[in-house]
Amino acid sequence: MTEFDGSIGSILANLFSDSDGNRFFITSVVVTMFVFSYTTADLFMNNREIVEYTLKEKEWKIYFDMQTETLEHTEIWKDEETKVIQFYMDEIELLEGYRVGMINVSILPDSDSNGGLLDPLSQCDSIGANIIKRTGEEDGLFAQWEDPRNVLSGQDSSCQIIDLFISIYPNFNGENVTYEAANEFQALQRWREDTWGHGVLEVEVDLDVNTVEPGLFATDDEEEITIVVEVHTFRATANLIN
Amino acid sequence: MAEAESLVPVAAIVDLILGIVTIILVKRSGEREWIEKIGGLLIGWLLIIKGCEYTFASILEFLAENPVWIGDADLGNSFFRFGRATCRTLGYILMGVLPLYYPYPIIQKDWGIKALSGFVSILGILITTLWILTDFVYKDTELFLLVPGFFLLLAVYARFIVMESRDPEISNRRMSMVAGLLMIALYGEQMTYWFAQAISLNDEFVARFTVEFSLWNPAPISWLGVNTILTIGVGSILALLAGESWRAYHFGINGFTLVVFLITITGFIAGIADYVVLDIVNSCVETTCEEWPRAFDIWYDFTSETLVYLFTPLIMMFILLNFDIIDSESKENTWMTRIMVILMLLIVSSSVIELLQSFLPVPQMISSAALAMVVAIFIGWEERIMESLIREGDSVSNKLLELDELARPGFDESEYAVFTYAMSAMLFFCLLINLLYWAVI
Repeated sequence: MTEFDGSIGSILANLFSDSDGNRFFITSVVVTMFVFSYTTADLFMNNREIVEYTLKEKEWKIYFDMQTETLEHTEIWKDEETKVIQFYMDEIELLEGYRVGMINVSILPDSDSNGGLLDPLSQCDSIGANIIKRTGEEDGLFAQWEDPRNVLSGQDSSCQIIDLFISIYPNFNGENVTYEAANEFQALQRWREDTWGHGVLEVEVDLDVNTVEPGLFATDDEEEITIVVEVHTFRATANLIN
Repeated sequence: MAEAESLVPVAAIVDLILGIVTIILVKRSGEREWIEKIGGLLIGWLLIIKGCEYTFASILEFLAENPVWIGDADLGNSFFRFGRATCRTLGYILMGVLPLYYPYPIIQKDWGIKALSGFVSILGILITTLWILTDFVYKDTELFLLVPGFFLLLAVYARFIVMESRDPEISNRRMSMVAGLLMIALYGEQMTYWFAQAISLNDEFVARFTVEFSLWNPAPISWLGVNTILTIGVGSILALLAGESWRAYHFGINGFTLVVFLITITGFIAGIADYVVLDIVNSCVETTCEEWPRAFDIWYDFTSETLVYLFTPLIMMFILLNFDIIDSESKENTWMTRIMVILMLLIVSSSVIELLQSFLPVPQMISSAALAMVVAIFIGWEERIMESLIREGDSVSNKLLELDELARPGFDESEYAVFTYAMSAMLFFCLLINLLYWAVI
């Protein structure tokens, strides 16, 4: 028996010195190589081509099926009063697969405020409205607050409806779009985020009553205002163009 | 039914704690043979790097679930994704070299540790840089590095399990057992996919993941790398099954045999489950990716994921203690070893209870009571648990010296310290490269 010198040759000679052990080892290696050969063949022959085809970028048209949900709040404002009205978005029951895309807020003044039988001298009141920007997780609204299309404040003193707008889902404007993607899943992936639109929408409305004072028939010191919130929801579907 | 909690953050904590404690304990185990010291350091660093990988994965999971935190930032091109991929690659490199030094070192020269420090550091920095510059297209090619180590562990297991049949000496069993345990620790996840791989189903999964995660668009050689580790899983578990069945027939069943049988059965059931969901697997390639059934997810949470995230660190801890890699009996190491053992067992048990609670309608009061019972058992039986871990403690170096198959090259203590510095520097530089790349893209 030669003395062990720590060389790789003698180490391997020792390790493979048992013929029964070698048989066990070789059988295991052969089985492993056999499994490796047919799984590799299967992987490359059956799957590689399909995956390469699938991964090739194709053009997809994304269609948006839209649904609108409406929330409404009517209340009487006193002269020079400011109120913040909260709309809890979680109260809206979204249909399966639908997500919030954008929100329109309309502030409707009382239709009789511009003169009436009881108060023929009354004038249109000044109404100011703001969508309050809150981005906190607890009391905010997950929305595109920096979107240039947003109309977060408005005012009117001619009895017209004030229209406000807030974009909710990134890059959504309701119009169909075309994308390049490997498959339908990836084409639709950016339209599947559930976070957007959750939270509380806060609308601040202030009133400044305009009336002819002092007068015998001047009774106009308040106004009924209605806030209508239209929540536009969408469900995206993809069609392969080519 | 609550959503199952992710085990990744738990794995990150467990691996980091165990890795750091291991390196400290190895440093304090001055009397151990060089093979135990270097084996302990490699295991410690492997755990730390896996801990870092799981930390990055946890952050990614958190950010993906809370997009508000990242705004418009692209997670796919984030430092966290690069960091996770880098740590995974470094982990594979260490998994590749560990069997070359422990339990049967094939490099027993006086330049062995220097070569290891240099080789791992240079290869680590080189490969991770290359991967990041090529957008991870060649990621997983490094899995070929596992092949020599696998053959070596297989050879050690085969030799000593056969030797035991002629000479049922306990030291022969210990050699085959440590080789088998290391196989489970290194390739355990792939072992649970053995049947699916044997009937060639895993390639369908590889195809699905390629399509589903558009970020990963691998080169053919990467596919081959993935197929290599999956096949290593099959080879390992079948060899262990054959060896342990034979051993059980002659000498009866022991704990390790049971573990092997359990993994084999798990892999077999997993293969059938994979076959059942094949239409869903292929849906990604053919039409639109359909989601996995809930039961399928739960199955993998409890088998492959639990094995990888919770039981692999426990197996490593068992190897460290039971094979005397660290000197757990010296006065200054005892308290730290005890804390480590109890901490590991408690974290793992509480995580398993939480996991059970996530899909079983168990009231919180009952799960709290169950956890209290586990704590009481661990405290009450702490002595017994420690004894059973260390009781049969016998190092592999004793066996190799007895066989006259272990040289004593006379390594300087500073060489072990250099290895630790080299690993720290490699990890730091690799993450720095990721950070710089992320900053400039």
